[in-house]
Amino acid sequence: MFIPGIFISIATFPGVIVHELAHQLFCRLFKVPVFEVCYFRVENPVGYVLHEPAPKVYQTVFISVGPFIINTLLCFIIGFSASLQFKFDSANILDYLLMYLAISIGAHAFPSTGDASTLWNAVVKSETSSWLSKAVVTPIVGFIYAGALGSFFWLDIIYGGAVALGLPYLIIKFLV
Amino acid sequence: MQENQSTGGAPESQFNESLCVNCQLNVYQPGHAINLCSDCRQSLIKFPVPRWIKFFAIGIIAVMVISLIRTKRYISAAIHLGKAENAIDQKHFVTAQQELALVLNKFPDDMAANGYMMIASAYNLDFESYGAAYSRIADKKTDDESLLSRVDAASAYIDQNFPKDTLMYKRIIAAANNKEKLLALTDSTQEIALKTHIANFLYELKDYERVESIINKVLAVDSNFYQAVSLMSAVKRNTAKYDDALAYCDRLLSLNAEDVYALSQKARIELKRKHDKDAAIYAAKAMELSPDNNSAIEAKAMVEHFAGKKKESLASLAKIKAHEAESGDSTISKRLTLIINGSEIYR
Repeated sequence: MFIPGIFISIATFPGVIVHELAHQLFCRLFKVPVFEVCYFRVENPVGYVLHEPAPKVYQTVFISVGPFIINTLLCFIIGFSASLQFKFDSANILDYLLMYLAISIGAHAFPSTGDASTLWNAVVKSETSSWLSKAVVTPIVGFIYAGALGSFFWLDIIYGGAVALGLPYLIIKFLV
Repeated sequence: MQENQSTGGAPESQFNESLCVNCQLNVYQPGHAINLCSDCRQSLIKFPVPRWIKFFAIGIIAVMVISLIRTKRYISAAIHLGKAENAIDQKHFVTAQQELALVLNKFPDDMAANGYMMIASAYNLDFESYGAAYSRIADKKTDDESLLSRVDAASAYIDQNFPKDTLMYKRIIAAANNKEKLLALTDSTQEIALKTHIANFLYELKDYERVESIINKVLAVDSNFYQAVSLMSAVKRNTAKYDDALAYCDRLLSLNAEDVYALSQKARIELKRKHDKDAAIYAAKAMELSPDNNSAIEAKAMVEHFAGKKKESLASLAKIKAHEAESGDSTISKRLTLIINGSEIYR
């Protein structure tokens, strides 16, 4: 079923907020000035962070893929606190709320094509970047574009569900 | 779609390029992509997170903490359920049943736990637990086809122990001590459960040759029919074909790796051929799995008896008698008493 991305973003807005917050937090971590943050709005792009270019390649990479780390981590933690209740058919409204939050946050873990473009311009197209940096960043950009393409097939939502619901079950399996 | 965009600055015609692009008051710090003064740089590095976002985060954390507190008991139940699933995969049905009992203490109506309990208790021939689990989920629906098919197989396994021709069953019971009548009934039924009942009564009458003949016919129909395999093992033991007897026990253990009866039977076989050390190992295994199981206690009592530990064997016998007072079946204590008081020469 095709649902325009904007509607999915509206339905999963907590994930957009966390996504932008993740960019902002990584900017703060690397002491990169931030000029403007839009945590959520009902137009494309639904959120953005304007910041100074990071001085080092790895910082640019981390600022771009920061949401992948933060959103995935939060999706797992929030999902874990509710997922087992679903396993035992005893989930209440609180658990449904947490699961919605977890999947929403997980669904926005993938960096956007805008993030990929920033990364591409800052590293791959830059004349000052080393070949090693370009070799490392190019597949990351490819991965981000593949993720964006996958979102047509609900990959982002599937990813959120897998991290929020599937990963806790897997961890329990390993604990046994 | 969200973005993070590094900006190249905000060019405006009135800007004094030698001053900070943000405040236009101070001289900028050189060495950065954007010309910002020290104060602006520091304040923009710490670009404020709005208060509503902080409240939003606090709200999520509060709900998470509440949920994590609740999750504690779910984690332990999920671990026990996982252990039970693994145990069932390895045919360790006693362990599985013990783990599932812990899950069902917390979640008595859980579909998966009750389904697995039906499987484990069926292979342990624990009719009571099987019935209790069944009654809790009889009206529930599930999409778990894998679980359903395993429950069906386990149900078929336990169901084969119940005679369907109840009239014939009553006739067999009535002929329990009459060899001629029992033999006459043998060909009157094709039901393997009933044939095995007849063989069981003939076993009590020590007609091992005929028991073997009947059981061979039963095993030709179903080579894993529990009651028949266990009876055959007893016949082989009593006819001194110990390796064959042990092989039948192993067949039972291939169905349920923690079959307490099969382990106890192995102990009794080893005792019979005076391999007391091996017998002690099997008896200990059986006791470890199910210390309240009468077959396990019987094996232990016999090991104790042949090791000269009269006091301990009598204590074990007393334990069995106490259990039998509840169940009303005194088969084990009767045969064990004969061995312990020396009325029957076991070996």
